[in-house]
Amino acid sequence: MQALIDETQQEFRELADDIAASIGITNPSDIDGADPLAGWRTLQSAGVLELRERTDGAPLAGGVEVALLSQALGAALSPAPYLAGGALAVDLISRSGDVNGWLPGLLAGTDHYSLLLTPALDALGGTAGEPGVLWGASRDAGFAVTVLRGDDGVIRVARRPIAGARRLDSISLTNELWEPPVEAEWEPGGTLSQDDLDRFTALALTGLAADTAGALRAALTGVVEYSKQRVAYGVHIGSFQAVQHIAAEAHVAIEAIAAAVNYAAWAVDELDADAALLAARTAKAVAARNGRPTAEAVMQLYGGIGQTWEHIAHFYTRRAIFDTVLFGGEDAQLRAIADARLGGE
Amino acid sequence: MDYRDSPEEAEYRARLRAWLAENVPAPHSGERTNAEIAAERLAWHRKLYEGGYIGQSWPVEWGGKGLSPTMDAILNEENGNADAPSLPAMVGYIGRALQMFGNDEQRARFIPPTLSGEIQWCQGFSEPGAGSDLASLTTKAVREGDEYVISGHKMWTSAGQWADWCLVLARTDPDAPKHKGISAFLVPMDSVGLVLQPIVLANGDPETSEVFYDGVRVPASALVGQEGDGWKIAMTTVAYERGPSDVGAISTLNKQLARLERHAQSTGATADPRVRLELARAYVRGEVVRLMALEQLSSRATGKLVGEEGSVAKVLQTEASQALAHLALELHDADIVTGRAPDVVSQYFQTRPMSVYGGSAQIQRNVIASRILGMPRA
Repeated sequence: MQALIDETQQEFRELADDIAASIGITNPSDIDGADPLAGWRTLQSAGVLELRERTDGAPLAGGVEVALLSQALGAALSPAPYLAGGALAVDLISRSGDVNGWLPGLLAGTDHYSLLLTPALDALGGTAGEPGVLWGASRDAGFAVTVLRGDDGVIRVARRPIAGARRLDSISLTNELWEPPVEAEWEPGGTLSQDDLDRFTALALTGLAADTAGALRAALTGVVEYSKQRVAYGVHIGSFQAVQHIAAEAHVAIEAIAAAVNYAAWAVDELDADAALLAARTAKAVAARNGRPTAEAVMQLYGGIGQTWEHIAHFYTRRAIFDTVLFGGEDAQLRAIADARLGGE
Repeated sequence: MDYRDSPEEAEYRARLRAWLAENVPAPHSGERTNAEIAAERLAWHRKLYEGGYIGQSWPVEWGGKGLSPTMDAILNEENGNADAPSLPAMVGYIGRALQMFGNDEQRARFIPPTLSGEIQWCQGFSEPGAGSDLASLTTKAVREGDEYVISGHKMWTSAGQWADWCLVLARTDPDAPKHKGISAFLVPMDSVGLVLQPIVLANGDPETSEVFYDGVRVPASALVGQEGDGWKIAMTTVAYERGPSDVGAISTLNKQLARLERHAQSTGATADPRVRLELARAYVRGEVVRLMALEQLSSRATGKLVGEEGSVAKVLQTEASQALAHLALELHDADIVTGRAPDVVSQYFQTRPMSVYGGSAQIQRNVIASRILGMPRA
């Protein structure tokens, strides 16, 4: 047993941090008119789009690398939709064998993919008559991808163009959501097993939880630094125990998410699909429970300035709320965990 | 990164599982006295030792097996899964203090019987006027020839009435700054001048005690390390005390959750969606404690010493244990009021002091803020 990232993973983390820092947001004004795909070329040329490409059945890199990169991108508040349009779209298509040859365009950075989610944003969508929401789209070009279950029970990956899609007012200023155009025909691709789908879901849950952990860690680091400079009553506010305890609790909350994410990230490829999904739901449940409250604690510690549009603090809160809702919040995860442990209802 | 058992770990786990199946005593029924519970723990300690499962990650030269600290995680998990009595806690942290700070003579004299359970320890740290602010302690030890004479009043000497020896902190230099003038001594509990008075805790059991030292004489060889090393020794001891793996927390949490799940299933409470959510949340909290312990043990396996990260684990472990006890109260409903679920009530009150002992929940937050986050001192 070795519950710590190894040397190679440590090196990857450093690379991920560098990449993320170069395509992140540090000031609220950075986001004005910014193209979320501005960083796509950086991701593409760094070779991280293909982490989940499978050759001989196994992905190039495990869930751990995806989680490390998601964490770094969350910390940097990067608007590049890597998790949806890179890791998850590639994972899904690659698991299906990419029978139509969709991946080369995606990996070259020329075709952009988004995931079609249900209107509740809690799973992949695609039921006829239900418009759903696109996660990972950044313009009304490229494709939406999802899975469709045939009358024969066969699960098949499918795509359709999103020309005519409309941008929604996402709560997160660094995560766009789009409304798909009036339904176009799905182009069917390869098939997936239920295990594939479970592992895909595990990767999505883990990536979102990792993104939350990264964002919260960066937010806390920022406000702790601020507490060492801001003076009130003649002393640094970071010396007040009331302030210290809020920060300490935030640290504990983030470490709890990180411990659960590390295990879930490893489990995605290494454990049985059931166990991988349970580990991922555990991580997502911790992230969902701790995400918004921890981001709120950071806003509180910044005081008045932390409540303003011009301050970066609300970007983290928005991102944490976004991550929480996608693929189901705490209760949704707990319900599924209860079913797994106690038997279904 | 690999959370799976290595071949050695898998083999060890399989052997341990088979051994537990043979040796775990039948579950008790009905209420037991504190003395009976203490006796059961001691018997289990000795049994584990005979089986070769105590001090397994300790150096061979001190009676250990020199195995990886990750084996302790396995012991913790399997002991809990087998619904066995609790693992002995004091071995982990008082024993470490001896291993790290004792001289060869003390190690040879005390470590083997500590591992075997022949010697049971207690910890004489807190005082009426020195709890969270431990360094304010006033018990003094005065050197007289080849002896030290210890006088003072200790509080919260847990399991003192079942202990043979005590690791006592006393001030040897009243003029030194308060953290610097403290020393640590090994004191037999049957010393002349030592009087123990049990303290009955909120659950009704005399789990802890206060101890009066009225001119207790110990030989100079009872000093651990040098004069003035006491604070360092105490902090190392509590750092291990804060590790959920060292005190058997994973084992206990797993066991209690499994029992509560079975109870909820037997009463049909699992049909209630809210109960399902709360049981799942308890599982999630326990998983976080388990996974953090695995990270910390993996870190220890690389040779790193236990540090402030133990405070993070302690906070989470405390929250997990207390929340689980709350849920147990709720799921036993009227039975906890009418005296039909004494174990549940007792367990509830047992989880209350967790946020006080070994450094209160507030002290842990102070440690995290100042030592991990680097926030300025007031």
